[in-house]
Amino acid sequence: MLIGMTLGVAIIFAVDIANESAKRAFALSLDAVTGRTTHQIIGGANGIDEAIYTRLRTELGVRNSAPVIQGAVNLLGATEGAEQKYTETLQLLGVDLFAEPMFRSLADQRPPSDDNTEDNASAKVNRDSLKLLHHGSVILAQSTADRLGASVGSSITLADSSVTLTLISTVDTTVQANFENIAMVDISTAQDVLGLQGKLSRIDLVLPLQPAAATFKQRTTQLEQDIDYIEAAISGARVIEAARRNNALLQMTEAFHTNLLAMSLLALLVGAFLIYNTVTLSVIQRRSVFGQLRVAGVHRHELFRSIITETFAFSIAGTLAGVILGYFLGSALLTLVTRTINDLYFALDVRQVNYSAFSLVKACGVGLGVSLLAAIPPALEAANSPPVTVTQRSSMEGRINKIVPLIFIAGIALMCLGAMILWISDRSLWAAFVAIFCIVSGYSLTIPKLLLLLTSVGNRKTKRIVNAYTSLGHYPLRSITASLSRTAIAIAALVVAVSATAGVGIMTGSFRLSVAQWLGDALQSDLYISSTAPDTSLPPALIKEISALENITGTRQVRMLEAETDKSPIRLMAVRSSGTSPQTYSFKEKANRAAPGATVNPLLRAASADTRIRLLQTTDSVLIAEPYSSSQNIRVNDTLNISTDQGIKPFTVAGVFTNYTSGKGLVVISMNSFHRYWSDRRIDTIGLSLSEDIDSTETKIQLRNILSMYDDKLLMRSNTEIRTQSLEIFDRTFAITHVLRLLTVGVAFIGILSALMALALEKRSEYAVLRALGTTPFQLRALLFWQTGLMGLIAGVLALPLGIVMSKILVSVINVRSFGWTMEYHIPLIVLLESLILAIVAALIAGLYPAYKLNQLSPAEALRYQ
Amino acid sequence: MKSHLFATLFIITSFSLALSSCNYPPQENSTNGVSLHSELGGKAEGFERACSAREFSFPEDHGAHPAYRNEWWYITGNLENSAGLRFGFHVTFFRVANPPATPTDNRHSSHWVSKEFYMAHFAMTEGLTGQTAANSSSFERFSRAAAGLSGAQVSNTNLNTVKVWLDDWQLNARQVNDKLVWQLSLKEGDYSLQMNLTPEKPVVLQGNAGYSQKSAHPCNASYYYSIPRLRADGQIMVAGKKHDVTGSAWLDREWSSSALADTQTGWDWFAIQLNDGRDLMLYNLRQTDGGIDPYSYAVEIDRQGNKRQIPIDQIVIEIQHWWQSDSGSRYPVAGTIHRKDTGEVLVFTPLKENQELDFTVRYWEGAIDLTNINGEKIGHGYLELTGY
Repeated sequence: MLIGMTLGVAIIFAVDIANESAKRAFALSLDAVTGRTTHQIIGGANGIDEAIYTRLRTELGVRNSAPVIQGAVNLLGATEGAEQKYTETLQLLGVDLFAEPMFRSLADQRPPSDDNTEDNASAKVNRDSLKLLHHGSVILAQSTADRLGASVGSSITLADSSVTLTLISTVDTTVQANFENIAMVDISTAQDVLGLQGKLSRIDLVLPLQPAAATFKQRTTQLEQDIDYIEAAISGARVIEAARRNNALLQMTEAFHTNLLAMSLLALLVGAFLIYNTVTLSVIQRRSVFGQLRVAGVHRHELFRSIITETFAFSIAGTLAGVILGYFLGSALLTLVTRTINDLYFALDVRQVNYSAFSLVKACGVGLGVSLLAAIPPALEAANSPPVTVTQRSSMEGRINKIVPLIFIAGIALMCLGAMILWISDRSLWAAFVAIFCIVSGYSLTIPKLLLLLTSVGNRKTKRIVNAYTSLGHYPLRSITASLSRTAIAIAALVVAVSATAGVGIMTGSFRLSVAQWLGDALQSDLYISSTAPDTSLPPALIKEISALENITGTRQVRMLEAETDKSPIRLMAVRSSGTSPQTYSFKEKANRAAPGATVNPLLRAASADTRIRLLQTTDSVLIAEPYSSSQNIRVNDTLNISTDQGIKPFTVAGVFTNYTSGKGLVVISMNSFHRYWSDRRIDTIGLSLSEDIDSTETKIQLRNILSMYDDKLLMRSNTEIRTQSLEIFDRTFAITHVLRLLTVGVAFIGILSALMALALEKRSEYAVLRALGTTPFQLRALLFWQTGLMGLIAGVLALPLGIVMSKILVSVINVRSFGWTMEYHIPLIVLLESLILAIVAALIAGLYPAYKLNQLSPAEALRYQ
Repeated sequence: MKSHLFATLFIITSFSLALSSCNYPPQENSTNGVSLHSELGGKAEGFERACSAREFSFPEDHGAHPAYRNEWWYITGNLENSAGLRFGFHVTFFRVANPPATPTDNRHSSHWVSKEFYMAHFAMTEGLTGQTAANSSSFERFSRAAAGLSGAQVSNTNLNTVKVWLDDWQLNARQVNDKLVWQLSLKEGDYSLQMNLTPEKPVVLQGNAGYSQKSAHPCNASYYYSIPRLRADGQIMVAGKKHDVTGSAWLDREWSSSALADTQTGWDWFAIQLNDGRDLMLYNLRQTDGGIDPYSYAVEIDRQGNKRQIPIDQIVIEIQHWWQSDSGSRYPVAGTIHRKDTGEVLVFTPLKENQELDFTVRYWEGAIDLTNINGEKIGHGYLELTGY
């Protein structure tokens, strides 16, 4: 009983912990990098010219400004001789110490105190902080330093820069939690580490509302004037509200967290099933004891109270154990969640395990609440029945059978409600999850009825075969329906778990297939050469030299940079193709519908891919990625205003292409348009098409030789390598879904185990009679085997339709609503088969222990109580 | 020689205060003073020290001397508007070398790499009008000497001969008819100062031809010169109200790598401009035992700018009034200066008692009035009290 409850509570709590910790770390990271900033000056490509800051300070007198350089870095641990060095990815935050006090409170934040020792301590910290001015000095969180094996004064090397850092001070994250993910350095160090000499990522501003002004309107007007004043002076850069930018970042991960939340709801459902089953079991299991107690004169109220009290005590113990187990489970899950976030969105390192009071209350509430709810009906039943019938199980089953049609109807109604919610809700992710929840719980309510139907059909169809081959006939099948109250719940739990597995499995399968297809389309070149150092580009001489090679039939040059738009920030990809390197994008018809009622350029109406690409190359047009289109609600023919080096320019959206990268929106522009509006002439990546009739190895060797003559860190990768790598990342991202799937099945497994245990215990006398009638222990075991196998099979079969429905919702509703990814729907048969086998195997394994217990049954002993 | 040195060195040890909070409780001065000195004594390596007299050359020497650890450009002045309302101002730009770094072999190409930083103080005081409380305010800034954010430059152009700046606070000098005319331009909040400063006397090299020894060790010294009287006129804003003002100012320049001895706790420094055209500068270096250090110094500058050093035993200062600030420090803000050599008695009283500067290092720096024993006004000046 305890195990079931513990697991149920644990899984609910664990998912919550993982989710919340990741979220909090993310929020703290944002807080640490933006602090009290109200506005930011940002530029177009690659940040802004550092001279803007000097001007701001020395000419405009804007004092509440701080230069910031930010970027991800990999710090290497100090492990000697290890082959794979411990690496930690952090946000490198380059600041000017002298400009900081207004902004981030990264230094000691403790309030002034009269305590002398405290003062001395902070004096020491701050004396150290002046050393931050030295090139290479870094301040880390104490916990980060510990993991890297670094102490104050020691050197830290970087994975992708020749600059050596010296740890000058650490920050205690119990005082300053937002420092956890940060490596703070001087702005000069940051420029050199990230290769951003002469540039700033942004300038943070604190533009206060004028408190002296009388009305809010006056105050905001003053603020607007301030912004205009600054903007007028800094050509090519823009002032934006800090909150807006952070929100864009937060929104990116929001969808991911909502998905995890859905997982935790599913866990909640399965966990609740489990607890319910466990508690019911523990009460019903002792019906005979209760009967005897009643015979001995115990009053029904006393009996009821004692059952409830006992359950309550157990549930407290179970819940506590569950919370503890959940905590550890959650910490393990957190690693997976963090990895996904890292792969998809933002360099984040979560070490602190956090949980809110709410999730604790939720887990405990479910643990205690469901236990009590589950205990009440059997306790009432036990207390109210005449002592004689209490010892008989049949009385209870009789009543259960009466309500089966009722809950069946309720289940159907709930499923209809779910379908309706799905139909009505437009873009709401939440509504979609509520709908899934309705459908899943509705379906599980119909399970008893379905079970009865299925077994009666099974009975009729298999009569002859069964009679021919087994001595026990339909006993196994009938005994499942005979103890419906027990088996139905166990099967329902298994159905939910297995269907979730199937649903998520189908979804990831479809997703993977779509991604693989997309990679195939997108990676048209044979070889890719790119620069690995951050913010560097390929040397122009190299591009010339390579393009001139004999066996290269075409090139595709790409420049990727970040740009601001009137919507959220984008990654702008400027592309130029030549020779046989084609421009390939797949345009889904559905994604490329213009906004209803808009006057659409006739060229764009149901345009072919060629037309769209021609427009891209000849006009001021862009192609945007599908997720960006759906998240920002920008459609074909709409205008996207991008801030270029020549100010803000409008671009027409000529097409929405399929893309499965996430994070910032991806926007493609032709190299010609790019050069028209941007002064940047660099190239990051060049894709090469090789002529088909030659051996590519030779060309590769030739290319390697050329590359070795250039000093830069250049990387050559083949199209297969990239594809493999991308799919690896994909699989890594979905690792957490697999783990959660398995966990859910694990919980269901415990559920079915406890149900079978209960059955076996209750049927002791039944089995004893069977034994007494001459059934061998082997036959009895076979009986149980059949029975559990059948339960698993039934659960598996019942789970499939639900799993398919769930996957359909996941693919065409949830994924579209949360990421903007549409994908091919594809049901891999193997997933269905797997689910079926999973259900049967889970049930069979769960039957092993009861069978073993049964083996030890002494018929005489068991019959004595009759 | 004044609190700047003290303050400058101070921030090396207690820079924190500015960083974490303005209202940070002050540290015990004496303990810091001691740690200051130990730091000063040992770590002047890598810097040149002022050990003997040198040749001065202008305008070059108005610029920075990066071979030395510390340097400042210091200007104080007494101003008056047409209605007779009195004001005092104090502006100092400090150049401070960063604490020594452990050498690394990092290549750096960032423009932000700096070996030194600048600190600037700006304070303004309004004289008491009898009816309303006098306004005053003080501001402190820091900036690295890199990326054009702060620095000191001397060029041969007439327009911008000297430029010392920290953000948009500036001290400039340009050549006008063979005279270097200085300009101050500072603004912060409701206070601003736009001032032309025209020298009325030539540069005066203090100590021994500009070599100013502060204690027995010959290298515990600084290079020190003054322009003791500049005619000031311009516009100021005090608490949001603009005033056209005229008056007189004093400019001090000093640089060194180490100066104080262990036995010195602070100093009382006077810069006095008398109505008869004479200027008087004197400082008493106070010793830990309460005595006056023999390296204290006094000088009289006549109308033409000729300097005459006054033996320190010829000066006796009697304190008549101590003022205690909210922080608990007590400052001798009023008293008499007896000159044994001439028999003169100068009575000094502050324009306002509270002219304490609540900066990284707390000190008292304020405008004073000078009267004779009959109470007749004979001049004005600035008084600096440190180490209290």
